[in-house]
Amino acid sequence: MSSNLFKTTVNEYLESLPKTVQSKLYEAPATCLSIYRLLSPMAKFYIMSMIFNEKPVNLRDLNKWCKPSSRKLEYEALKRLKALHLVEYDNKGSHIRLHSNFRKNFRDCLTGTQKPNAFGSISLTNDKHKVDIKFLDKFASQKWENILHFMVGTESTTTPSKSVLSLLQLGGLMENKNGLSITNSGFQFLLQDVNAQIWTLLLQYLNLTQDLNMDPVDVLNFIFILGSLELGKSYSVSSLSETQRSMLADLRDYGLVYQRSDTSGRFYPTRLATTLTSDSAGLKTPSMAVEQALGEEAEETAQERNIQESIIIETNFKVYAYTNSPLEIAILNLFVHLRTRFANMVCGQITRESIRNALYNGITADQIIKFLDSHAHPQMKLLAKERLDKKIEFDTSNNINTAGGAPQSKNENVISQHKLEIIPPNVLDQIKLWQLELDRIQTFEGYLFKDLANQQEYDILSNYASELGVLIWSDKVKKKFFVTKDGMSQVADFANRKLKR
Amino acid sequence: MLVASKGVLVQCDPSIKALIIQIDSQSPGIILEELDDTHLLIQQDKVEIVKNELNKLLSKNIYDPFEDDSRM
Amino acid sequence: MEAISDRLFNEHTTDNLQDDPSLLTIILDVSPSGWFKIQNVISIQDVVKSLIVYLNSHLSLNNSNQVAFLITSPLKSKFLYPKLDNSNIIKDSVSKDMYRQFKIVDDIILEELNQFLNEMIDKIENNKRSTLTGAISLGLTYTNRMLTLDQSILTTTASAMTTTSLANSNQNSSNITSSSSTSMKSRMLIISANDDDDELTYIPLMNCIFAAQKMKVSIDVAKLGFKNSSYLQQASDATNGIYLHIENPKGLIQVLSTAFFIEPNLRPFIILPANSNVNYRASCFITGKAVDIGYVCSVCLCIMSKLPEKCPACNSEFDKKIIEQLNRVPQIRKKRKLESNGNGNNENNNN
Repeated sequence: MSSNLFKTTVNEYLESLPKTVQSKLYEAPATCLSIYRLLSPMAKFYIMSMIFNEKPVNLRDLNKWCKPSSRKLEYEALKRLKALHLVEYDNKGSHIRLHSNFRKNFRDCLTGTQKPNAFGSISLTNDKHKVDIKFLDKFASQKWENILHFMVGTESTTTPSKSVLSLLQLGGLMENKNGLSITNSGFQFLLQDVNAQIWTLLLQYLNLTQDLNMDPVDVLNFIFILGSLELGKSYSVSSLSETQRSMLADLRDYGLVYQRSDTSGRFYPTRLATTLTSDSAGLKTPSMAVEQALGEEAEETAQERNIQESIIIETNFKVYAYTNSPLEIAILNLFVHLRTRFANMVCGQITRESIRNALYNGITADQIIKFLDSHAHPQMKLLAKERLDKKIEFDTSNNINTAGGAPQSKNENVISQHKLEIIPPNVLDQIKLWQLELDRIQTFEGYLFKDLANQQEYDILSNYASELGVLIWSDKVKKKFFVTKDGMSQVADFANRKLKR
Repeated sequence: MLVASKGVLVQCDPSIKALIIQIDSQSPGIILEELDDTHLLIQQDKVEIVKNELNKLLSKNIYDPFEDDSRM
Repeated sequence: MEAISDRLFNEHTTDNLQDDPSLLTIILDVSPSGWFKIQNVISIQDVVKSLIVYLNSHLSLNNSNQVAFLITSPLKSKFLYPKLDNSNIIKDSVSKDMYRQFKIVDDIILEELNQFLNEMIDKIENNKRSTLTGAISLGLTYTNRMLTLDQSILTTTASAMTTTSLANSNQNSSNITSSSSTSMKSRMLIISANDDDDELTYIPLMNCIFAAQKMKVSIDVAKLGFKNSSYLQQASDATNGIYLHIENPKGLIQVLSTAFFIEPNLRPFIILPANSNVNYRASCFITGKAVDIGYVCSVCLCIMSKLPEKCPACNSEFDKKIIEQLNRVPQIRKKRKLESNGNGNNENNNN
């Protein structure tokens, strides 16, 4: 779900761009591919069905594909596509057509006839100082964790470069009160997974580019090209534009690319860059990724594995984290009441107070749960898998399939509800309940309209208010309704005009 | 004659509404109008007071075993 | 309180459209007999070209999407991709600048396909049954392996993908942590030009269909050629798949990119092009020929076209009296003469 988070923020950014900028974006095949991947599945399906169609497609045909119960998905997809200007409605509004540049470039991308260097040009000569994936991963995780450590305030870290600091400040993640200190949104940022974090910083960077006279199209194109590069291969700098070359220095600070020096003719993308446009579940943390990539080699250190996946949660809410990393401990401290610290572990308890504190600081229950899920100890995952297998076995043994075959499909819903439960379900539910506790009342500021003369007046005014979207509550019998503060002036004007007649 | 009164609309479930009414009876002047089972109109500046009181009342009902633990 | 618990459950189901990665298995049937018959309409090269573009578009959906390509002929069935041995150097069959993830897959498939076809031409024999069912089982076992193996390694970039997945196939997966949230879905696409249904083995095919049902793998079928294949129709009908008989294969890529592009996580929300008149034929257990009217064993439901002593599948003995009754040749009654003695002319045997 947090992978959807970063998608929505990137999508929002892209939608906010003016049409001309978007059209320029669609000239680059790598951008087309990345933007395509960021869409919802329904939107992807619609686009694919129009790619190889020369003529505009009748909207009614698209409607026929969608089941009536999922009309909402279709509506959302079309809305998104329209906001990105990927589809154009014709004059009568009955047919739609794909943006011609996008269509051409995406098609070229699929058939291999796209422009050269669209996906970066691999260096042809051998590097004297070749680096391998291990080095790249270490480099990336070092840089990235440095930034996170700095945010949390661990003393031994080196301060990141000035550009990073300014990004953190501008993004609202840290504020300057007697030196930089972390804010509420900074706390939320810490709990997100790496992909979402990188995109948050990159979007901030994009906002900066306007001021620095860098062409945002170029910057975006390069970011998307980075997302399509292959890990471990070096790419030559010669095919990049001026803006893109200047970006390389900044990207080095975040750990996205590795370049031996500022004048080096080649650069290596790190894992952080190559998984920019993919699902974040594949990229747990950089150091975890190191461990996995080394899975085939025997020298996989247990310590490396334990740093990230180290949390054990019991059903009595006690938490044990086998970690020494000050970053982990600081993050855990946000929502767990840590009690004791040992040489290789900290233990504590999840209490109502501790979760409430986190919730007051703006962290959501979902973020906490995602964090616990991704940092759970392998033992917990094994146990959860065993439990899940037993459940599925039990289910299928009760629905023995005969030669007919039809009964199986009816039970699809039942079986698919058995998800892998790593955190004990009572802890999970209780965290969500504690969050709901805080939302017991919802308040809206505004004005209550009452003492209306007759039913007709009530109908007219309340309809107008609901069309504007400012109506919060209404009661036909009592002839009263409530509108927000912002909408008050409009409704008042409308009422005055109506009454004067 | 059309009247528009300024206030804060509170949306909650019936049990919370009853609690707010109770708070109001102890320190009057909070609720401006009862709208229906799940909505109340209250004074703008009393919103924080209502939330605090509500928190206090609800916390009384919560058993916190961890507090007992720490005393040991 | 009820309102609160409702909200809790509602929060679970807000994400009904997940963007899970998916595995697409394509099975291409190159039995010469079928393709020969449609040689004036379309050639294998054009179909393969459309398939490659279709593969690329499947891979473009999601960074972690995967593909498997199987080829089947009366000679044998084989995996073209993923390749098990990295020994041969792959030539560049597609443009050098293609997105690397696409390029690697396309190169391997095209090279292996050429090799396979060359081999097949030398060794072809007539009158061999199609091995399509074998290919389906290969595909399903591969799918099963992919679905249960750890997915998190495979969602890194393409280069890491091929090396680590090959390493996994050689090792035990015991030291790999299991991923929690992504679950891979999968489906299968069969492209066949074979018109002759008798070449397909019915019972192994039904077993494959049941396995696919259990794994929730939908089997789509793109049928070229002139007739509909009732067994393949049954396969897609039973597994929530799409069966389309493509009369005009020149527009194959359009059909592929619309009707056959529906991903597994999108299937509950889209109306599939359904086939309402599926010919639910079966084949006899004993002779292997297609059967429209026949006998059914009441114990194991196996279908037979002639009556044996015992059921061939479950070995249960049939009641001898009933067998005699069924085996009786129907007696032709002589026409009754319109005379008074009508009782002796009926020759019904009473048993």
